Amino acid sequence: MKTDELVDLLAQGAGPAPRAPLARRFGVVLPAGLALGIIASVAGLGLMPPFMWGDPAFWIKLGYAAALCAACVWLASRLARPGAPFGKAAWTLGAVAAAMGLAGVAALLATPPELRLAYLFGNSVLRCPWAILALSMPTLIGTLWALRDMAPTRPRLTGLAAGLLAGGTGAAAYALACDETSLTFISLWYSLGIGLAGAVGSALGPRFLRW
Amino acid sequence: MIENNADAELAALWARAHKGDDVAYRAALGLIVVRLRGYFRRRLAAMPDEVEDLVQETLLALHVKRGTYDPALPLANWVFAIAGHKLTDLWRRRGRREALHDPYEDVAESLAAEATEEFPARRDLGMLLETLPAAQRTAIRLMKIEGLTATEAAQRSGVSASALKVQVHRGLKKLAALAREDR
Repeated sequence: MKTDELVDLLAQGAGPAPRAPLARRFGVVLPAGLALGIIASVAGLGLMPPFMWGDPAFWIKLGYAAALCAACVWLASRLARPGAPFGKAAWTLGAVAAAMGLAGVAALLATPPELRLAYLFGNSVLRCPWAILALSMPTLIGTLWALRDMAPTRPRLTGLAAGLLAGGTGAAAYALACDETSLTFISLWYSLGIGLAGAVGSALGPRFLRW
Repeated sequence: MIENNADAELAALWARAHKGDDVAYRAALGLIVVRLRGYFRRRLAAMPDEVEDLVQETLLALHVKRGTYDPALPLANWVFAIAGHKLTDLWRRRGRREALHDPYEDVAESLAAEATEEFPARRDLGMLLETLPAAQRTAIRLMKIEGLTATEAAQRSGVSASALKVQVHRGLKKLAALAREDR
């Protein structure tokens, strides 16, 4: 087939450009992934003790997760469009992570030295990052699927954004089963779990986001 | 300046095409073809045989992914980001399959070539089209090659108009994937 014939074929009855499916798919995949994560978290790990609902730490975990998710949705939707600048979204994501890191360091410095190790490691340090990673998997599969029909030209970076987004929902789901109250703990181990999900995403990106 | 005028003309055509003007879409794709040829010819001086295949593959990608264009951004950024992606993909595949020591003797000759002139494509999309599932092949033949409207095509084939449109879309997506794999 000659190129001119291909142009004719493509233009013939082409109609208006279809809307990119990303917003619609994220609208399905994110709530579904979060719901699956919450079910797995509460059923598998058990709901946190009731007093946690009144603890600021719980709401900080949710706020951190929500801010990360928002920045990652923005970043992923820029990366999904060829040629779209994504610097602002990436900086915003970095700022959210940095703010949590600073809060963690500040909280650690404000803690009496003899208590610092306890605040840093809590009592669930071996569970937290891995649980967040596991709870983020449903969302990761969903976000990669949603991004497949877009046109990411940087599959590794796009996979990273998808992974961190999934990590954010995994962290929110895990918060419901977590009784840690230290900001230092959250800033370190929650971030590590979310980062692990990001690493899995960036490893899967080049494989799943080909086009 | 000439470049800017050409960009503005293309952007205006694309904006009309985006809203559903097929005549503008054909004209816009025609202008894009010429620029894609120039782009690939400059970068594939050592393998001019690949140029037309890559132009066609990029056209298919532009069409199948055209919903990802953000009208707030320059059209050329979007087009050449996709072209660059296709080029990188080709290098990556070539790098894996064969060593990258192509002869450089014919560089000057292919650089001098006019970008409007078309070399034959090595891969025949027409033949790839024949390998699509029957429902997709039929929908593409009726609506994209014979040029029937959805209603006429529905009467001819006994398949509903909306189902035909879905088959056309799936078929072109599949064709884009086949073209990518067929290297």
